[in-house]
Amino acid sequence: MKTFAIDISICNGCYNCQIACKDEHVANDWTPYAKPQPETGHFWLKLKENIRGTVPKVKMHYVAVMCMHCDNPPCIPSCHIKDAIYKREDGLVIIDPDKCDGCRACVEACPYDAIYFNEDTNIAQKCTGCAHLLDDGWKEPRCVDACPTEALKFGEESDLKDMIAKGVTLNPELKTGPRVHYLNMPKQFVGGTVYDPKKEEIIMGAKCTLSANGTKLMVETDDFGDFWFEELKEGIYNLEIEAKGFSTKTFNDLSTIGKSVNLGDIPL
Amino acid sequence: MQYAMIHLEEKGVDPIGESKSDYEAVGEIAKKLGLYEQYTGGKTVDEWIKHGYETSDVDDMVSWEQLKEKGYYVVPTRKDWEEDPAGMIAFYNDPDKNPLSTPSGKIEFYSERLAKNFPDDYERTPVPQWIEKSESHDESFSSERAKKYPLLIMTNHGRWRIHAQCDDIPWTREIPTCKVKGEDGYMYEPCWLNPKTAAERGIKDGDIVRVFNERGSVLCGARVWERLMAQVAYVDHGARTDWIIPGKLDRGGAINLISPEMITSKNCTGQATTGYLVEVEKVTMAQMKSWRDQYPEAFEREYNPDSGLCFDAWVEKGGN
Repeated sequence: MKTFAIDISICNGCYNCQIACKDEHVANDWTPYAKPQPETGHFWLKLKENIRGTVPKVKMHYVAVMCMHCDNPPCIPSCHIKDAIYKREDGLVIIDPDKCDGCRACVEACPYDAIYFNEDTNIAQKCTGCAHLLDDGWKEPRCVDACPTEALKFGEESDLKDMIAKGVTLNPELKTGPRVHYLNMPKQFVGGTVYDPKKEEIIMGAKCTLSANGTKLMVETDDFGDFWFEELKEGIYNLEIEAKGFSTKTFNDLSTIGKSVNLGDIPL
Repeated sequence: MQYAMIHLEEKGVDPIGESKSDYEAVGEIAKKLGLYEQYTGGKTVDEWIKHGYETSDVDDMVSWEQLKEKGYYVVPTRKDWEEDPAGMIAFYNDPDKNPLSTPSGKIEFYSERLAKNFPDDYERTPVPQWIEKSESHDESFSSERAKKYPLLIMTNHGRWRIHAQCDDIPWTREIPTCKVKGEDGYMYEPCWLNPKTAAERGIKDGDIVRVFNERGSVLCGARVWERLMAQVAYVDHGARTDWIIPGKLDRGGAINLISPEMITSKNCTGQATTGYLVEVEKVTMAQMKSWRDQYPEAFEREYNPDSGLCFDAWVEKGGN
């Protein structure tokens, strides 16, 4: 069974994958795998830009999103035509371009917005995993081939099992069984800069304690007065900052739900 | 060799009207100056192209006939390239035996040549230094001008273009840092703004904005995000011009149209175009409509959002 494994930490956002996908599928007819993709507007692989934090504590990462080639794909039962969407023995999910009648049910059914509609040919279209190439002897699809940092990997599930074990899937709560696994998907952070307002100097070595539900994390401010709590689960946190000779500062109910938190410059 | 590929550039269209290539245009001036023979070196254009090939260091890898037939040649990475010596290693190992081309033969932080030849040039001093304000340039926050134009704009080389080349590629224009689709469907050049700077001006991500100073106005599409600090704006240079009012208002996003006009200093013809003062404001659909009504011909040029202005937008007749 084929699987994608994508290492977010080494993706530099070059967009080669998104462009290579278009190079393979725009104006090229790979029936019975896929008919040509329109010149613009479809992203069978879409690179999504994510920004966390606020200036000056800002972090970015890119996530390549294509058809997840789910083991329990919602698109298949949504389709009213028998075998118009099917799963291959190697795990790839294909929309048969000749059988599709353009009802768009699968476009609505896909929770990953990975299926696009072609207004000109009246069919639903998406990533095929470049099955036409694999069947022709290629080891990997064009997006993976074009990745200069090898952030995108493709292969047998058994060969990639170590990466899969460390990775996550998108929206696992949907239980669609995605075959695209992401490594090093960043989590949220809480950060700030601690300073002495009288001296107008940063404070090094201030003790910062972040707590939630009985668990405690501790860091000290670095040589720039900065503290970082990274890789945080989404939740509500309390923060305490102590330094010798200063009164303790506390922040209550810091939310990392859907966002990272930069507390900015903090006077003690 | 400093490149990975060579290619023969074919003409895109036949010359229209009296238009001439840059080479021919300069040649006409050389004729008037009586320097035409020196200018051409006795070679035709085709002979110059072949000369380029002969001095390209790939002439032993691909024949002239093969190159002409294919149109390009991708230079393979040299075997054992990892053993190539580092660029200035000879100078590093023995600077006395391998001097640089400076008067001292060393890397010079202080230029004696500048000090001797241009002692009164306070804009290009022998040691590079910050100059807050000068006879040619007044583009800092401390300037009186900053009261009217309070943002410092940064104009980089575009990530998706080479200057104005490649501004028409449909697949890059779909990338959020390449173009911004305006409410009117036009693909605007992005103007990055910090959310604070944008909020002060009532600007939201995706809005059409006017970036301006006393030198003119350029329309862009706002990209509001934390990838830029406050009090700063950022527009790549090189978007293709699409005038609404020639000399005053451009819709294409060619930000160099409002950059400082003066050169680096009176003795140095460098461009000082990468940082200067501007203001940014939201453009309403009512404002766009009034421009449309006033300058209808500017909005009638043939345009395709996927690739921008078409050939026929500027050229009235001719071509192939």
